[in-house]
Amino acid sequence: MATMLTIRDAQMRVFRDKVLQEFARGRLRSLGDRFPKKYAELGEDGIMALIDAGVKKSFRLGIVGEEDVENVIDLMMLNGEDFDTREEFAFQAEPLRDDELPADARVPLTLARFGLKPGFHEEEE
Amino acid sequence: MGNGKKDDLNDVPVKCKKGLGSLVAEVLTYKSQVPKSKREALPGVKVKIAGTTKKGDQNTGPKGRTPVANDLEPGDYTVSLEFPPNMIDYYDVAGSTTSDTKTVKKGKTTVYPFEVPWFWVEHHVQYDDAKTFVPGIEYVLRYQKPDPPNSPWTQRSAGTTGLTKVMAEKVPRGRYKLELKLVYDPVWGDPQVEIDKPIEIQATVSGFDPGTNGTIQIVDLHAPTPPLHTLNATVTESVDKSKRELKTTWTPAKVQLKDLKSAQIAFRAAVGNAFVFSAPEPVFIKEKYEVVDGDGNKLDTRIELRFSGGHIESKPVVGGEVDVLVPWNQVIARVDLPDHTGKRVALDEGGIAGRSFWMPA
Repeated sequence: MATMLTIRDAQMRVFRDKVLQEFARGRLRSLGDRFPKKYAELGEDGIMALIDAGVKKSFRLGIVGEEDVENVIDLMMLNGEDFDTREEFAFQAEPLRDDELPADARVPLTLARFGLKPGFHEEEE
Repeated sequence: MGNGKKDDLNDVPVKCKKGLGSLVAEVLTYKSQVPKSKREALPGVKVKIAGTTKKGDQNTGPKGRTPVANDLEPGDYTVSLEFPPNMIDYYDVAGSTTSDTKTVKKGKTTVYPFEVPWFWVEHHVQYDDAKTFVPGIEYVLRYQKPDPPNSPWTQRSAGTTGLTKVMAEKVPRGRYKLELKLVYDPVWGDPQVEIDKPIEIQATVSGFDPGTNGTIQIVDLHAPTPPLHTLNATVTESVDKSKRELKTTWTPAKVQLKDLKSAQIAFRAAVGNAFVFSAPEPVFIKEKYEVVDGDGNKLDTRIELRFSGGHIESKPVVGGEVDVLVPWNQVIARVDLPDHTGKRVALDEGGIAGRSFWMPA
């Protein structure tokens, strides 16, 4: 007889938090390698805060794919936390809020509009 | 995602996805040779989609994007761009990737971004120091289509130089040349001007089309305005087509120079607002003198005339006659007959009566 496994909300939260912590640790290493100047400027705590802000911003925008969230954080490192609302980047950031686009298409199109490819480095600024 | 990344960081258990995928293409443009320049959307490009699921052609919209092509069976899809004739010359289509094949996965949107740079030209006029701009010169920018070969040059734009570079964005491919509207290198056809003797006058012209009207003003060197005389001329192409000229032949008449106070003239060649002054030329009038002895016999000898402005003419006298070039507004200051030293010579010239000169032995 099969037994139904039920995951309670509390268990789900713990699981999700663990995934996000792993994600943040991975991001910290990657950002240190690719954005050494910005990393030195913000320090580890500052970078962790930026990663947290990047995850929240992404979720608010409906962007949930891991690679897409990574790219949103990279863009924040490169162009500032508020890059998606600044007038100077209005054209580049337009896909992020385009409801006609599937969520998983928004970040790749935004990167393209910045003339960037995933995994870009600080010096490409 | 197939790359070890999670599909949803916010909802870890994977949702059941529909078994079909989608794609979207976007065409951006930027300034060629400036890879970091700001991107712009490129609407009006036809996008062809080839893959398992058949989709009709689409055009990029104002955002440079196609509508999302949904309900695609997973598999490889090739997206190709086709530029309309009115756009193809303005963008580096040949030098860009205009076709791409990617795999469309189930439940995923595959993005096909394209970049096709636009052509542009910039120009500026600087002094030899390559730093200081030369303002205030009218120019014309000319353009030659690449096909067919030897297409005619046409005017693309015109303006006046300033203190910055002039940029023309999104221009058609081809050859460009900037011509400054100038008149320069003025040349007299002879080293001196003689009344009633035709003389060629010319200046080199750039930036003006053949047939453009111009003027050549003859001016007194010491009082350039008003002009003594004005000649009309048109811009012509030299025989070898290497340059354009403002050219005429002038036969100076005494009456045209009646107000000439000095002995020298210059010309001012002008086309449009561009002009140039020539170097000065002395003006001469050819006079015939009779040279006779005290008994009225016509002499064959040599005569040397010194004029009030310092000019000296030394000429043979044949049959009692000699043609002398008299500088404008000058009189003879002294006469010598080297073959008749020790004698006195009387001079009747210039309306001055009773002049004579002793020629020492």
